[in-house]
Amino acid sequence: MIRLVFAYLNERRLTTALNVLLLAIAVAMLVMLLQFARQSEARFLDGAEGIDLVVGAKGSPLQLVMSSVYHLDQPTGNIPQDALNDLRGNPMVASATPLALGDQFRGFRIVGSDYGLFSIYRAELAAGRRFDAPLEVVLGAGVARETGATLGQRFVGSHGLSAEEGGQGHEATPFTVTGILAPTGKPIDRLIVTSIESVWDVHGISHEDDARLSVEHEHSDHDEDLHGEHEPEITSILVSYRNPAAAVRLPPAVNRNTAMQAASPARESVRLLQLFEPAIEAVGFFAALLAATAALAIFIALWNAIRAREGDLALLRVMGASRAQIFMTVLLEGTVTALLAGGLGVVLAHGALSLATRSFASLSEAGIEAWRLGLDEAIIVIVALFLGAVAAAIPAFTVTRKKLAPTLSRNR
Amino acid sequence: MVESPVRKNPPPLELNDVTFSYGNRPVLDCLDLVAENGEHQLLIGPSGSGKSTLINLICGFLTPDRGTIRIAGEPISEGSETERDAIRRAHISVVFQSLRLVSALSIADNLALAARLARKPVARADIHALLDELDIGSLGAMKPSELSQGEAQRAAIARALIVRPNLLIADEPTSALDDKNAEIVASLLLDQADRHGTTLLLATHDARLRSAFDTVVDLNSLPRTVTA
Ligand SMILES: Nc1ncnc2c1ncn2[C@@H]1O[C@H](COP(=O)(O)OP(=O)(O)OP(=O)(O)O)[C@@H](O)[C@H]1O
Ligand SMILES: [Mg+2]
Repeated sequence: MIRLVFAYLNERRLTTALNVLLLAIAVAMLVMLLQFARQSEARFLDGAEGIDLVVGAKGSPLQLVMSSVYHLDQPTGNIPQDALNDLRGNPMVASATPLALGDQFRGFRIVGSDYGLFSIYRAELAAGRRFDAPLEVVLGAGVARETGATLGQRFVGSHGLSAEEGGQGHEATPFTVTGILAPTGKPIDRLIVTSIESVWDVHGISHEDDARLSVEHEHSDHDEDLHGEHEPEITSILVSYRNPAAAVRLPPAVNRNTAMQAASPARESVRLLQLFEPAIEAVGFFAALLAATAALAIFIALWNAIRAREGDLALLRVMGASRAQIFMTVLLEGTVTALLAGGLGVVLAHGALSLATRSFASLSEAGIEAWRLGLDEAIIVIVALFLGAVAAAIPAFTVTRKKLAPTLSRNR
Repeated sequence: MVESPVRKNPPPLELNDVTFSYGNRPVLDCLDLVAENGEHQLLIGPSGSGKSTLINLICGFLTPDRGTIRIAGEPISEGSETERDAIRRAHISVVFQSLRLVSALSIADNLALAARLARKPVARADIHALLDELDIGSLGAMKPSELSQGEAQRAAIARALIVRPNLLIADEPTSALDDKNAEIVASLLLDQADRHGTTLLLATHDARLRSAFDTVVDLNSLPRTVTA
């Protein structure tokens, strides 16, 4: 029986292929949408774990959170290093971890910080030791995997935050890899972590009123600079609260009493996800429409097929097939079409995601993994199967109601 | 009238006083007919005389207005569709003039499917042996559309025979064929029926076949039964 179903599908393979493709595209769209929504949401929530507040230069709070927590956007500016000591002295603050951004190595950001960053992301060393002396670095798991860097390896960072910026290299101050972190599934996987002082060393402690972290490279002019008149600067501070009351009192205090701003990662990521919602809904609606069209196409194809096949089906009855068996062959044709489409759709979706993550670094930086299958996808495939079965049910039912005698005595 | 008790060996086919009409258009009137085990009967009559209608009645696709039709003692003219399906499946195979094989399947797969549907599974080797016997052994892997008319009709006969029916019915199996193929197919049917002791009922308007059959039923003459 199954063999007959496949023979029929094969007989009209062009129509089958088109219908499979149509439904597969709808399934793929839904799966991609789901993957994107679910993974980005999970990433955002995971990535912000342990960080209650980000303090940085004034500007867009979303940009501050994106740059300091997820390491995706440009920083808002710099803040004086004194702010770190002030926050550490605040009784509402459990921990305050500084960040100094400005350089990258092959597109991976070099972050000046302290060991506090490891505990925020619960990152364990997989090999080697933590950075200790200046210009020693620890690589995130993703950085080590993709650059192939090993312990003891030396490399030169270059200015800017992404590989495309292709800033000048800091040839005079090469870094040495002393440790590699185990994978965490969090933003730190894609970071190169070193001490704040290392970052300062690389740049010289800038004196210029550059909005960003020290962009000066001319070590030679160092002494003639107005060095010392300005405080050493950092990019931002990651804060975790000592008690819930801090959530109410600390942000307004920072915003009102200092030239800095305080942004909550939880609030900003919710805002960001809400920004996506109408787009996600629109794409979802379009995919649903496409799925309905595909179901209609399957229905029409089967409707035509059973009319062309009247003789065959009558013959099956003569050979001893029951009405139920005839019904099942037609129903199975629809369901098998849908099953093929479901499978193809899932593969298509993940293929597209894997292509996308490979060609757009920002997607993989955002933590989109191409080949993670979810239970929800099974649900999408089951819904597709259900659509196929519904589309087939009416032609299948019509076939079983058909009177056989006229078909059989026709002497075509 | 009380039916006589079921005979020990009921005939494969027994029609009793069968009357049928399409609406108010009478086709068959008070027809009695018995085919004994292994008998070869020819059902003859011009176009429109009701041969196909009679075959549909015998197969249980139509029900008579009056009278009963029994297949090996079981009434196929009564009961639910499922019951009629079961009787047909157990005893009858049909060969049609042009409606022969499932187009999407190869010849061998057609035979295998027929056996499966009749719930009489056979080995692939048996299928090929039968095709060999009908002289189309090399065509098992072909699709029906790739066969000539004569070959296709032989394949259809193979499809009907693979389930080893008690009653083999053929509706105009030769009328789409040229003389040579018609002769081959007719003798093949008779030969196979002989070999396996199958009761054969062949409907045709072709009087040339008369001499080869035990009994000829002429739907247009009265009384209808003539013994050759
Ligand atoms: N479904 C139907 N509805 C109404 N009348 C029908 C139907 N099928 C057949 N008839 C009529 O019943 C009569 C017998 O038809 P049937 O097909 O049994 O003849 P036949 O002997 O098989 O003819 P042929 O040799 O052409 O196949 C014909 O007059 C035909 O027009
Ligand atoms: Mg006819």
